[in-house]
Amino acid sequence: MNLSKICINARPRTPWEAVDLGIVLTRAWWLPLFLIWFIPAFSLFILLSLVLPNNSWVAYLVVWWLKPIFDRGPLYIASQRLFNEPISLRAALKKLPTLYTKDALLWLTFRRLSVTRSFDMPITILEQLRGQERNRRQSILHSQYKSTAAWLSIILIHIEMVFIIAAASFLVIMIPDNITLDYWSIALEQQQLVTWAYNICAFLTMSLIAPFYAVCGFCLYISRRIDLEAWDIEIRFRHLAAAYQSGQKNHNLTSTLLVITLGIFSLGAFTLAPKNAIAQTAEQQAKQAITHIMERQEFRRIEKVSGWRLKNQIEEEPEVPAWLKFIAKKITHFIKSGNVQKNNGSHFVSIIEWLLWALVLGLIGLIVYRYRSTLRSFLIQPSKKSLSLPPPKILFGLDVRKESLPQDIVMAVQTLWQQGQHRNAVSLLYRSLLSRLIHEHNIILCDSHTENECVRIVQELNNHTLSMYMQTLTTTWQQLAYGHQHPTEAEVKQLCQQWEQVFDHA
Amino acid sequence: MQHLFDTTYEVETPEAIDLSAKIAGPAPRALAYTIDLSIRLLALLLILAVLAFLGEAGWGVFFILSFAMEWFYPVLFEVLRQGQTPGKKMLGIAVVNDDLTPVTWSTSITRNLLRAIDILPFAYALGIITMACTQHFQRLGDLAAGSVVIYRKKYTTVTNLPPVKPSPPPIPLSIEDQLAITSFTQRHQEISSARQQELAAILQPLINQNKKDQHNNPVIHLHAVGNWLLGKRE
Repeated sequence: MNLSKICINARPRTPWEAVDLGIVLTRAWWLPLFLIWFIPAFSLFILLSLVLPNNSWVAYLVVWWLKPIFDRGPLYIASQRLFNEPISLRAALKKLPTLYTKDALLWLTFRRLSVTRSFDMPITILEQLRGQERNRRQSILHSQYKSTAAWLSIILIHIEMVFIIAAASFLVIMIPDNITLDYWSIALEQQQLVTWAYNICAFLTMSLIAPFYAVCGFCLYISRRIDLEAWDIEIRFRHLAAAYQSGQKNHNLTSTLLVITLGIFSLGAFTLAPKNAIAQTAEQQAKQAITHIMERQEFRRIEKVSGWRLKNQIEEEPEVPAWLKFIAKKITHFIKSGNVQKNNGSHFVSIIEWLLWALVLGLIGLIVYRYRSTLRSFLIQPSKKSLSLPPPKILFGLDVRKESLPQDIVMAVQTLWQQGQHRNAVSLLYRSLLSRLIHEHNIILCDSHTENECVRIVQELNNHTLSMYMQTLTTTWQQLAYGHQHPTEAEVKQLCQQWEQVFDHA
Repeated sequence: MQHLFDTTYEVETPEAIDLSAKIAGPAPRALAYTIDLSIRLLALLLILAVLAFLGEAGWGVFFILSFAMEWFYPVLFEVLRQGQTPGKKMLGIAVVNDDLTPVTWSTSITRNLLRAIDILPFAYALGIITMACTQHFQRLGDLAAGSVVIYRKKYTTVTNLPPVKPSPPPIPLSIEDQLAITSFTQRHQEISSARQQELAAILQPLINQNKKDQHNNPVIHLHAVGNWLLGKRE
């Protein structure tokens, strides 16, 4: 047992997950698992059937009774494959006699009907424990897992029966309707044939399910051992220890290697330098070569697709849709029939009918109510007015309400600048610009816009002077606000003059 | 890295977050279905006992109810109860969309309507076969709807940790190695002490390199590191 070669993800699992893993493994190794069960069992089945042709049920019963023995083949192959030890079918078949004789008597008598059979089998076969020792081991393994192992047996027994009946029903379903067969008389007249068919079908089902049962039980066993012996931890610890030790060894080597590599690289730097010019022409040549190659046939794909498609049909619309006519007809018919029944005095049925119709209408009403907003948006075009939002009050932390601004903006800006409050001055100018844009030019700005987005929106208006002004002022403001670069007095003066040109003259 | 067999189902979201779940196979699902079936049959039996007094009309109502039970019992439970019918809840499994989002109406309705196919030719034989053969244990309804059945994680409180004074790990450890050591610490009651000695001996060279705080017993040292990694400091 070499844990580093294990081919499943060793992690603690719930018992049901272990069963699922068993199915994954059986699927992956299906052929050898199936054959090692099927070959000996089928040989025995055929032999017994030929010896006792009149009592063919004996063959089935004997094979069924010997299942604990046959299940050992798949178990053995799975246990080898689990640790990535490839074992050929021939070698496994040769191993069968020793496997089959281990504790066979006990498994065919006392333990034949044990529901945890596939879970317990590895203790006998793989751990090779017997007697008292095995019982002790089994009781350790059983905690938490016993019930799942038992359920596994119960479920698979039922699935086996379901498959046998399903095979029969499949035949019945596949016989066309116009052929009427009396199945009971066939069963009674052809008893021999039916028994044969049943036995073969049951045997095949059994051989399909048996590998799953053996391997699922084996996986339950492995999962329990992973829990108890912490295989996952061992694998990780070994990995860590190995990585640590190789790291220790490499430690001394690394420093010498580093010096050497550095030397090589510095040497390379000198020799590579003059080659740059050549490299450029080589690059152009390479590009040409690439385009040349890409034009070749292998890199072009032309597909021809043929098939049946619907022609474009022109639909004729009837004046009144057919379904509406249908419903109207139904309703009138229903009211008439309801009246008739009322006259007859049997109210109860018509009440139920009315109730059901009320339920349907109620459901439709409920659906309409539930999706009323969706429906409304389909039916009514929303007016532009309802979509527009109220103008924002604050943009990037600046108050842009009309009321917050002074009457004569240019004056106020210049006063602030002369008082030395440079920041406030430029801020006021920028604020008023935004406010004017919102309230006088009716530009829709949201508080999610950034400064540069605002500039772009203004550019889309195609008002050259305004957008130029917006651009300059935004840059000035951004440099001041975020970069702490104060504009010169001349710049501010010019901005104020332009303000008058842009807004007051307009 | 070689391929390791497992029942894990992994999905990467557009935000590059890896989600993973453990897929539930045919055996627990068959059991869950049987439980659901028994619950349904019991409920119908009770309803029948009441409706039997109404005569023929009662039969009519009974058939309508049994129809509704058959088709909407799984759908309603799956969508309204986080993908779990009572049977699935008992087995700790749940239906989810195949991108591991909660199951939606359309998914649940599709997968449950296609029971009509999976049930053929007798008692879900086709469903069982497709479940055993498809990679993610999906029956035909699951394949059509794009759903998978997974195990719901059971959250357990941290088991009592060994009473050892925590100490920091001697060398930087990868996440997997940290997990192995914390797992070694948390499972100290389940793993036999002989086996613990054996496991700890593997890491002997690592532990001994730090001469200053040398413990005689590597198991105790590993427990100390585990406690430290689990966030204990005193």
